[in-house]
Amino acid sequence: MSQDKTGQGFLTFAINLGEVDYLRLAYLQALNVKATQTDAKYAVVTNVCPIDIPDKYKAVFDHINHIRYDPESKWQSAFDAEAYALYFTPFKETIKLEADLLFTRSIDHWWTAFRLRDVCLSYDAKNYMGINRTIKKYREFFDANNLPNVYNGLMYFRYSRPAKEFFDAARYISNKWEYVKTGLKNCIEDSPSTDVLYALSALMLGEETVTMPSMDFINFVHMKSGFNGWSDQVSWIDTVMNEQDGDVIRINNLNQYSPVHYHDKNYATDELIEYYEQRVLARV
Amino acid sequence: MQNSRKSEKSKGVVVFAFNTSVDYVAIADNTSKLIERNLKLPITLITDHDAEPQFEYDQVIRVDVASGNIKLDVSYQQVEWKNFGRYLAYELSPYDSTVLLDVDYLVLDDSLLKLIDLNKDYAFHYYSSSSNGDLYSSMGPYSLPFIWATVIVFNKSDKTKMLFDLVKRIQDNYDYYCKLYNIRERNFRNDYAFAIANIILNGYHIDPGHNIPWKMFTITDKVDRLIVDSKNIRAYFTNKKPILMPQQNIHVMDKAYLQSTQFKDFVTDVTG
Repeated sequence: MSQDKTGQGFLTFAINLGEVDYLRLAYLQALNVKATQTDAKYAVVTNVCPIDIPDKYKAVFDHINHIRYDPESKWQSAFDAEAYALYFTPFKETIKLEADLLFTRSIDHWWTAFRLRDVCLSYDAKNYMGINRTIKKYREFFDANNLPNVYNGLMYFRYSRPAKEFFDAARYISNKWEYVKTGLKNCIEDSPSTDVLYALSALMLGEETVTMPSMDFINFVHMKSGFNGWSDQVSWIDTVMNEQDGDVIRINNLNQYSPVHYHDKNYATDELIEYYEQRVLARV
Repeated sequence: MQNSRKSEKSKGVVVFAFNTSVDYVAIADNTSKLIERNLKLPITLITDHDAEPQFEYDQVIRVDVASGNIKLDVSYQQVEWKNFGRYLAYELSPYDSTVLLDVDYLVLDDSLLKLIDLNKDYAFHYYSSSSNGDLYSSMGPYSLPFIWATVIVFNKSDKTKMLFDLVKRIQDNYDYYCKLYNIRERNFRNDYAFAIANIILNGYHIDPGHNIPWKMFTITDKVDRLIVDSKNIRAYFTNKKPILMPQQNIHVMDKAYLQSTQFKDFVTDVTG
């Protein structure tokens, strides 16, 4: 494990294995972080070759960690690498994000709250009306196994022994999945999602050591259509209006003050990227 | 210690009544008796030039009002609905603190006086319940919750003026706001206009601070009789079992009942 870690910053994984260009989403996110946070550093872990990364991306990413994803590598899915987040992060304190999440205002004060834990997973999620919700159909597996309602879309960890134990647990569960799943109810997943891995790790180490449910602002707006009471057959983008107003994202005429997990990758249009490029340039 | 130099704010009730096939002015005459008894405040009627109100109002203000809107009544019949121009209440109200009421709202206690004392810019009901449970309160399946403009308590202030100015703008550009807010029904509703104005005015946010902190009780069914009895209200319906509830203000949607002799008798019983 690299000991050369300094400061605090944001980290995401951009592993391109299919049609979605996660590095492009990470670029949008990096611009968004620079536009909304104070002196924020941004690191990306990607399987895209450094020579294939556009220069304008490199100008915004503070750290790029390249990893190999090929048939000989030990990682088979995009999620496998995330269990090594503690190794990849260049920061002493890290907020790890899913690439399709954007901030709408500074969350500088969250760092103070996060420091009450070595690891802190976001708990529950909000709908666009700001109401914490649990949609059973997305979390039946969690309910069946009494797993904490954590989301890996946004989490904090400090470079520390407890954080190492958390990620060790996640890797252990991932490596022993064929065995672990025999003890779980209604388990049909061939490989565990990161949410499931982290929920099980939280259960192993003590849910109270890696969550702060009482700080209900530490979560995000989940824009999966069904999460907001709409049909999953239609994207939220085609259901309600959205627009930018400064740093704020307005969805269906309501300002979003929590981070927005936009979920539908079509949201990341060239126009949106250009919008944040302009905002970052304006700040410089 | 009270400030003896502080001038007393004027307080009063404003009701709008424009006759269509429904005699809203006659309904207002009757419901005003309930208001007078339970709130003991002056009442101003805003109506058209043809109306012949019988109740002794503090003031009768006559205005031109646009027609052309329709709605479904409790029997699901289309009826004309002259509900434009509610935004005029801010300018026309002669009072510093105003309780703006629909004529189908029966004031049977003094709870609205406590709202005036809260001295908010404005407040209205975000929620309403009925004997069938909570009432649906969304402007559409892909839209936002509406508020009930049946009761609006407001103090004259810059913020309140902006609210009413916004309602005018929304009324004037209603097709645009229907599209923007995914509103399913296209007939103009003050419930929707005030809800949209409230959201915009509070920074594109549903601010709970303007909610009247109790639910409005609405009777959505066809009413045969209402009886006030030992601080309870008994409501008898045409097509369902009667209900008993504590005496409270109620919103009665059945305009046929409100024009009936049974309702006049009810008002007489209550007001003595």
